[in-house]
Amino acid sequence: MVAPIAVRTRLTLYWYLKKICGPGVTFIYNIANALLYCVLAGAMISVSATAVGLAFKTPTPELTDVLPNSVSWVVITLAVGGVVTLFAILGFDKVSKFSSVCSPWLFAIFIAGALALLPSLGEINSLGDFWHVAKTKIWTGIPEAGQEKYTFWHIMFFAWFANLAMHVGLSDMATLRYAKNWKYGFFSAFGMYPGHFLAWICSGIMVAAVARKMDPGMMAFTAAGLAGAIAVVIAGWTTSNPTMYRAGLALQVVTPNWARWRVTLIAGVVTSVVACFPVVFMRLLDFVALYGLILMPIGAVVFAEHWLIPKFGIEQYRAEKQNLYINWPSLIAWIGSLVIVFLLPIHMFFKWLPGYFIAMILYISLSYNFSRNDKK
Amino acid sequence: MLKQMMKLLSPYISLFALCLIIFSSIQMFSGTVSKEYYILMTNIFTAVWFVFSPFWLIRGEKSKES
Repeated sequence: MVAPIAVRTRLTLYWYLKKICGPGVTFIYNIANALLYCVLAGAMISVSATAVGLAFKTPTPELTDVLPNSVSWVVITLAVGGVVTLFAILGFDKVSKFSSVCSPWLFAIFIAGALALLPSLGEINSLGDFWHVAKTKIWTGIPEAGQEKYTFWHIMFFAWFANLAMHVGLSDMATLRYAKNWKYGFFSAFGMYPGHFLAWICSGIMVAAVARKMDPGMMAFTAAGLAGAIAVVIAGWTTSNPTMYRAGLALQVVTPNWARWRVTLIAGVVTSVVACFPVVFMRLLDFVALYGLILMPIGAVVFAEHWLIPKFGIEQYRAEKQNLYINWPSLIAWIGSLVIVFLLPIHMFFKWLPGYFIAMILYISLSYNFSRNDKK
Repeated sequence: MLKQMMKLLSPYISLFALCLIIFSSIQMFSGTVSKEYYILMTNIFTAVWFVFSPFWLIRGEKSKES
């Protein structure tokens, strides 16, 4: 979905959005994006803090906690947030190099941790034994108290949702614009889907082996010792760092006269404070779904403008050609589709698919009406 | 000379270390080694990975910031 548009335009989403929706909508999009990025980076800082907290015997917040449960948790989270912010200010280059070293190792630690903890769940001598353990100890179908029960369809839709802003929301145009041809998009899909599924299967096994306690640091330490705890710190750090950097970049579009370090520092302070509240990472699934849902209609608008608008004989790039500050059809389609999907009586994870088509239909029909009025 | 040799050998050494992390977990899974031994091996091979992998995974040229 992203790669063909990225390769044809060779633009980032921000620039293409300005052309299609006008600077006004791009401004709102950047603010929304920056805030959502800050919360996402905050959740990953909390995950790292659970591993750092092991060294100081800091109790990890419970699954139902909303507010910080101890002063030491706040101090550790702010310290981790401070380090992440510092690296984000120094730039993305070094973190990206470090991430390329860590990725294969993280993959190996995930598999090793799951394999090593499997025997603690029961004797496994055959595939049948594994299936029995999987059904009775790991994926029992019984949710924890206060948690929802997910079916196969919930997991399948969440797999889509986990990176929705990047593919359906078209944020990946930033990297795929450099691709030689559109087929390079399959590489992202390969990393996203098998990568997520493997990580979820391994973490499911590991969580079951630590009596279903939601403590990533303790779980990884039990599964792989010090290497496991370091893996959690690095996984949280390498995710939160580029996310915070992106938040800084998005905010910089809003404050063009400010230096990047200043904007990133503000994003870092907001992120670190957010990270202190355990509700952010304990409800990460809901937040990721909300994040994808909020940005998804913009992907639908850009897709419609790029491929469908010319086919309906409607003028393309109205905002750029008429020097419009706000392309109203895009803003109405964005907000309107979100209002409609929030009212739909279906689970959060299923809302994006109808929402995508609603946003597209709204945008095309409104663009048709607006361009007809232009001609009068 | 030493740098060139490191560049040549580092992919093999680091990937071998990664395989040994998985291998020691398989040993733990099959019950042939203790958990302490598996964790010790995981930590050692993790150190080997981080010493040798930068030689071939991090390229010299500076990439452009997006």
